[in-house]
Amino acid sequence: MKLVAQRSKIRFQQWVKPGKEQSVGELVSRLKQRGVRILAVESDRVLITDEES
Amino acid sequence: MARLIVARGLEELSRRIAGLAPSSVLASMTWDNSTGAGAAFTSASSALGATTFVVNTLTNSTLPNQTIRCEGTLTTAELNGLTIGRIALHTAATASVTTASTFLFGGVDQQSILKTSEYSLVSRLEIAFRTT
Repeated sequence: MKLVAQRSKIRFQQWVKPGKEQSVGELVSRLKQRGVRILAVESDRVLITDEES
Repeated sequence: MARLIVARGLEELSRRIAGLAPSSVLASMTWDNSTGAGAAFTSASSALGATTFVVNTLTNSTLPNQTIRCEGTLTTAELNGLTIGRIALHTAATASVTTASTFLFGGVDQQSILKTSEYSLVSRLEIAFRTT
């Protein structure tokens, strides 16, 4: 018998970590300047994409 | 944006759902610059096709409560200056994944993420599934 997985979905997130010489605040500012949609900010990273099917 | 588990991935997922040992494990993630509708994943997709891509080892792959969570990281030095269009999972180690290798499990497409050296990216793909 072959089982088939149904209604599978992928939740996609992009966590952006700052570079070595850049703070999260600076990164947020630059991302906003580029028109990137920011969904959440944490102490060491920024969530820029979060979509579900 | 499309999110898709391809046919081969569904077979692997079915084995996990059935409590059978999967024939392979999710081992790597790729980010590539294929964009637009023509680069969409389909159920018949088995490889990336011609494209520029980076492949890295997954840093996390767990299977709690009918969800597979996978994370991969692009460093500040990787894939800069290109627009990331697709992110995919593969059931092969990084050294074995090429544009033609048939290890594709699934992924998301039609992204538009311009990567620069200002930051690294941690991509998390969570695959939620259930049987009916």
